[in-house]
Amino acid sequence: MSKPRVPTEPAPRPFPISPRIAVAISIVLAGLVAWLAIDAPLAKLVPSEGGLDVARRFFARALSPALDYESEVPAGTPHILLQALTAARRTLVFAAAGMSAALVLGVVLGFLSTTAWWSGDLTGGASPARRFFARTVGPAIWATARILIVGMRSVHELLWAVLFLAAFGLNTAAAVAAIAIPYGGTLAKIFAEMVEEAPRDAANALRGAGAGPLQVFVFGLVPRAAPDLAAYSFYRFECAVRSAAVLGFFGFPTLGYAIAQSFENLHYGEVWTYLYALIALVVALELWSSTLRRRFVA
Amino acid sequence: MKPSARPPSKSVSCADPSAGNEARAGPAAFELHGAGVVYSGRAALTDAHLAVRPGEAIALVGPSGAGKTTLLRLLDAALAPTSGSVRIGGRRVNELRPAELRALRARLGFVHQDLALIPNYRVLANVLAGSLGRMGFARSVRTMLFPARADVERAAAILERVGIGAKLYQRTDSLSGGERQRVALARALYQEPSALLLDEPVSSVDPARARDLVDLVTEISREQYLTLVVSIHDIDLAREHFSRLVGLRGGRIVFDSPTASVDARELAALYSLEGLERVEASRAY
Repeated sequence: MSKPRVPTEPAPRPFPISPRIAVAISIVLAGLVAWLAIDAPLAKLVPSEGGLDVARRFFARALSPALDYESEVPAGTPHILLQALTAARRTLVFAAAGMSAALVLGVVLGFLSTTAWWSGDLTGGASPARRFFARTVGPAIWATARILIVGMRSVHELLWAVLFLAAFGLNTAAAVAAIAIPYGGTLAKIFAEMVEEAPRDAANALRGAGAGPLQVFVFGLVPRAAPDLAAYSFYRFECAVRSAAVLGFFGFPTLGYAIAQSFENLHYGEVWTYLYALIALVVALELWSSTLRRRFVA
Repeated sequence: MKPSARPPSKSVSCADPSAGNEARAGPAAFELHGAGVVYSGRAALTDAHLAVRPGEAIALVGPSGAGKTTLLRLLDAALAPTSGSVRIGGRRVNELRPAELRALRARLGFVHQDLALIPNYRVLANVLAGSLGRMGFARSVRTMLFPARADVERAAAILERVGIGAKLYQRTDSLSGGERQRVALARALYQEPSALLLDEPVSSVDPARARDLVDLVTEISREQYLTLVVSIHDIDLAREHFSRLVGLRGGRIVFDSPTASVDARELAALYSLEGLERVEASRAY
């Protein structure tokens, strides 16, 4: 038996300001240094006369998108609205293909980069073999998966596209891989975090009822995170649609390709037609995903 | 409220902890011998002696923080004692191999205070999850995703028994608090347990519902010959439904006797604030 602990005086601060204020000040300072280092960028935001003119003409067409081509097109070219529809469909298909591959990557790597299925707190009463696994193999798998994920994520999808274009030329697989790799990495990272942070109450209850660590993980932990996982996947799908559209700038036949061509020809009305097609696509997706979420998640 | 059909337990009152060890037919359902649990330097339970016969129903009473949940977790084999011994069905928990421990836990139904259900599962899936401890991973995937007709029927029958048969295919988070509690009870029953452990089942529902639930639980355990251990804050409810009360305070069992012989003075002492500091001080490690 010992005497109850007496709260001690807090130690005097070695520094006159609190850590929180110090952090805030250094963030502001870092921002200022960055602005100065890139040489007064605000001064360069004043547009040139020609630039202003382009902008004016571009935005003038915002409310009157082209309903027909603004110049002669070769015979047999489909109507512009049909063209926009086709490009939108291709954008969606590219995004869906990239995203489904990314989902597989995300689920597999996300699982491998969580600690919950092998770390101590879900494997109570572990056998020596399992303890060995949790001490060596588990962390090794975890670290490998994490490094892989960081590598996939740290290169932007457009850079991946440039790389694959150089390696494989202009083919569909290159575009799909360019989306799938960085998106797979991002999904894996977020999936892992969501699962690790999901409430453990049900998981502990299943463990208490004799379930094994993998069963606890799959049926006790993942379902607790499932609504967030689904919502985040929908959001990434939306991002994938935009990425797929932008990949068109490299020549893939998505909305970006049509936009780039019309822009180069100064056909701003056409640009707006395609932009509205992209906006309509994203809005339609958003409506679809929110309907699904209302039905299954919320 | 119905009078308990069980005769007041006289054989294994734990005035003398060794008394239960002799002259008994089978092993006790639960047997604690000087069991203690220390959580990060703080004693949650000290020198607990307790024996519960198979099919017996007891209530753990005492103020919050008295060690009721810790004791229940020992009985659930979710916790190993840091000192003393815990035997469940005659087997020492500390000596079990992991697979044996799993098998043992699969037969102990526990209803958690916070219910620990998966809110976005259907009721059926939450109930089926109770059987995971009895199967390998591959079979559990099939059971959870494509349950056999027999499994669904058994789950439906249990839900019917606990009074929410119509909720089988509803999402769990669309149910009321009292209904969710019955889902948690159904999950525990679906384990085909030999014992049912309930941690403060009446803390989350209103008094009338609490009474109904304790009625239901005692009735089911009597029907199925389950050993029942319930921690209850509400002393009147405990007296009404259980023929044996175990009082805890400051991490120690302070009495363990037939309900009829627990007198008002003992109960008053259990819940009085006076002397609590002394108990607290003695708990500091």
